[in-house]
Parts: sequence; C-alpha cells; structure tokens
Amino acid sequence: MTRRVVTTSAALAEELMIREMPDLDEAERAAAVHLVATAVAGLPDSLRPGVALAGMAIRVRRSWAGASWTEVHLPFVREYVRLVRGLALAAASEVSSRRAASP
Amino acid sequence: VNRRVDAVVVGSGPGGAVTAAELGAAGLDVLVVEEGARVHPDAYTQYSLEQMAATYRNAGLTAALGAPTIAYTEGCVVGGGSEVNSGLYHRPSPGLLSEWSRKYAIEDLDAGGLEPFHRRIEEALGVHDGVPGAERSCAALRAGAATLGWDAVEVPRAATPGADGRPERQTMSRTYLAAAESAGVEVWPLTRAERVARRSNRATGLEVVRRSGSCEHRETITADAIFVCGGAIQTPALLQRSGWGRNVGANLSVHPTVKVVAELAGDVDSAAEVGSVQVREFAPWLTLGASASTKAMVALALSENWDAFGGALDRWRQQVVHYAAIQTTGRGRVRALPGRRDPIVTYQLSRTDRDRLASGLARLLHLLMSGGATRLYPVFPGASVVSGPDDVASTSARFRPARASVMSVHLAGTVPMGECARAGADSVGAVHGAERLWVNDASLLPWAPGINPQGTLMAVAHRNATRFLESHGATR
Repeated sequence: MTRRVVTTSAALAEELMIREMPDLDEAERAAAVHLVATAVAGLPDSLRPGVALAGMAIRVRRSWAGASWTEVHLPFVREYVRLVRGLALAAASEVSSRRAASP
Repeated sequence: VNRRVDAVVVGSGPGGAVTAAELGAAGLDVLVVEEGARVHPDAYTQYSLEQMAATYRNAGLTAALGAPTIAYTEGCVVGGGSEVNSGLYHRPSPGLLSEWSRKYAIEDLDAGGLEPFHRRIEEALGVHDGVPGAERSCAALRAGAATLGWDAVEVPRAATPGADGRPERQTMSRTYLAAAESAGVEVWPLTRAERVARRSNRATGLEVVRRSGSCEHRETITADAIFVCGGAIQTPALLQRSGWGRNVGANLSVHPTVKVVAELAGDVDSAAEVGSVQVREFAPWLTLGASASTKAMVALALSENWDAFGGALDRWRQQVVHYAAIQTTGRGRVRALPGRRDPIVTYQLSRTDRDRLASGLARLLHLLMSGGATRLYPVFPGASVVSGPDDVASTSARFRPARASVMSVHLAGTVPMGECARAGADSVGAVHGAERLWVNDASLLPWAPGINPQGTLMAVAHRNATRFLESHGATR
C-alpha cells in the first residue's frame, strides 16, 4: 500500500505544482516532488489507509470520467488534496529558496 | 543479546535527558534508548521539510483524528523535542501547580519545591531574556499590544549568542545529554522500545529493536529501574503495548492553534527564528505569538486558500506567520493497536474550545491590524484577505472550527501523576500498579499548561529523579 500511496501523491504533487507554481523549472519540481514523496512515505499507520483510499478515489474518477482532482468532492479526498497541496507548495518554496541562496 | 544496567531510560528528550543526567551523575549504570538518529542541531535549516524528514516522527505528518483533525509534531531524534522546538522557556505559575495538586492529589508539588530545579535548568540551558534574532517578526505583536493596552511579554529562551551572532539553541544534545555521556551514560540512537518486559507486575527490562542501515535486530535490556520518557504519545503507547493500561492514554491535552499570515510594511529579519514575544492578555486560555516564517512555512499557510492568496507569496519576506493557541476543556486519547507501529490518536474539542478558537482568531486579527499589518491572510478554508479593521468581523464570522486547519506542538496529560483515582502514576512518576517502572516526561503533567511546557516538565523530571535517588539510597 505504501508504494502506491507514495506514487499517487507524487503524481498529484507534480500536477499541482505545474498548475499552481508554473515558474518552477523541471529540476526544482523534481526536487520538490522528492520531498513530498519522502514525507508521504513516512505517514503513520493511522493516516495511511485514508490517504490510500483518497488516492484510489482520484484514480478511479479519472480513469472513468477523465475528471481532474479538483472535481472529486468527497470530504476525505478534499483533506488529502489539502495535505499534498500544502506539502508540495512548501517543498517547492524550500527548493527554490535553496537554489536562490546557493552561489 | 542481553544487556544489564541499573536503569534504562526510554527517550532522550527533555524528560529523558534530565533523568539520565541525574542518575548518571549519581553513579548509576544508565542506558538511554532513542528511536531517532543523532543529528547535529545545526545540520538542517530549522523548520525546513528536510529537517522534518530527518528529525520529526513520521516526517512531521502526525495528526489527532477528530473534527477538526489536529496536526501535531513530535521530535524523533537524539535530544527529542528540544532539538526541534524554539526553546521558549517558562516557569509554571504557583496557581497552576496548586490547581494540579488539588485536582490530582499530587503530593509536594509547589513553586518553592521546584525553585532549585528551575535554577539548575536555567543555568544549564543558559536561559535568558532578550535573545537576539527575530525582533522584526514581533513588531506587529508589540505595536498591537501597545495600541490596545494588552499585556505582551518577552519570553526567555534556552539559547545563547552563537559565533555568527544568531541564537544557538541549547538543546538536550548540547547540554543534559552531553553531561550525561560525560558521566558515563550510554546512548543508543536508532533503537525503538517495543515493550517493557515484565514478570507479573514487576518491570524487569526492555525489549528493543536496534536499526543499523537496513538491518534490524532485537535485544533485551535487563534493568532494575525502567524510566519511560517518550513523550505524551509514545509513552502511553509503550505502556499499553506492555500491558499497563489503567489511566494510561486518555486525558491527552494539547494547545490547538489557528494561524494568520500578517504582511508588514518592511522586510522581516531571521525568518527561520521564532519570535519570543507573546501576548498573554487572555492567558492561560489564549496565547498569541509569532511562528517561524520561512518561505516554505508561509507557502504552507497560504496553501489553504491558494487561488486567492497564492500571489502574495512573492512578498514572503514581509510576512510573518502568527498563531492563536488555546487551552482546551476537551481531551484526546492515545490507543496502541496490536500489530501496528503507530498508535491511533484522537481528539475531541468541546463547544467551549471551538468558541475559544474562533475568539482567538478574531483577537489575533484585531491585534495584528492594530499593530500596523497591511494585510492579513487567515489560515482556514474560505477565508478572505483582511485589509482593514472593518474586515475583521466579517472574516472571523466565516471561520468554522470543525473545518479549520488546526495544529499543536505541546502535548501532555496521558499518564497524569497524583494519588487520585484518575492518575496513571503516583506523585513522583511511579506507574500505578507496576513495580520498578516510572514515567518522567510531559505525560505526567495533568494538562497542557497554557505555556510552552518544556521548563515545567524538566523541573518535574529533575524533582522526580532526585526523589528516586533519595528513596533508593543512591548518592550524588
């Protein structure tokens, strides 16, 4: 279950960053996705089933109806997207800050 | 493999470090087991995701389930929470200690009795006022409090000026653990306590799993005394896994916080530092303060309403994340489940708590506007930008506590000490119904005290370790 949770979250994070932080270059985005994946891989037992279920709901909705994650209006999916979005935006900001600070 | 020691201490945070240092100084053969790794306090940028991945349990993604879900963090590193917190230091008020003593029948717990321990801690940690580093971050708090006539205080910190002039936090790895290791105490990092070994009601040792690279191996440590100091989540979980469940795990108490990003007229200094000014006009039920405000922390806060607020991230150097932290009347619970590594944590906010969160948010917005903030970005779904005093009431009215983004860092109360029927341990931390088993961390505090609890729990841990040594005939 963990691998699938991580893969789905990483894909969602990448999609979110392309949409919401379009100025990031590919390397920055990849580094941020890696940070998100690392964080999600460490999720506690109590949260992992809910996250897995939310990820599955998004995948099913997409494959059946081609819908975007923004169109899945289930509360637990909303919470999941909120979690990944927060992580992705924080990770992207951290990566871009680090790059800007390096000589 | 079997190892024999006089005392084994589970956890190396403020409770465990004090316990180990005191017992080690008395000449006992002491072993500390710590689940996290040994990481230098300056190895990562404070409050970065990299630091969280390396030093927080579950990379910082831990939460108490409920409405709302309350995100919390636990340090998982040698030195525990002291390695990742801001080092703000308070002494508990005599009134608080008296209330704890009365409600939980705790013997000999008062300000006078803790005084010598506080003095020792403050000397060891270099606690003092006016630690430089984040003056501009606190500007709106100070100015708002002055305008409104509210009480704002400079909170002392466990930090000393570093070589570059910035504060160097005096964490456990730099202070108490270093002293303990000098006295011969051994610390095993990357070692998880699975359960306390027992014969009937007598604790006889500890079963641990040690990690080395991708390898793990089990060991049993035999000890005359077992001190569990894993913090308010892991301590009750370990006791439950070991078959001690009476008054263990319920009564979890935290300080839930709601946040607001304030935009100021100029750039903010030291974004990675926590402001040391707190507005305590409504304490203990409400404390207002400033958090670390790196670009990542600001982005995380703005992400709640990214479509409306995202554009503001360009001005992150002018922004400070502020918090309103409340004391709750509601409580939570920690439950260890068979076969699961992590316990389930739940928290039930009461109606009073929800009102306090809403009221805290409104007061924080009012304070920051009065303090000269140019714009405010409240952190809850559906919030709008506050750009003048007239917006405060309408924005506050949209706040729904059950759907809010709430987080906490101060966890306490899961093995409350005392002689009453609700206590999990006695007045000095000995677990009720067990022999040779003690708790000595924030789990013992009957509830989250409305202040940063590290100073309180360290003083209580000092006191308990001293009592243990006195009652067991050990001398310093």
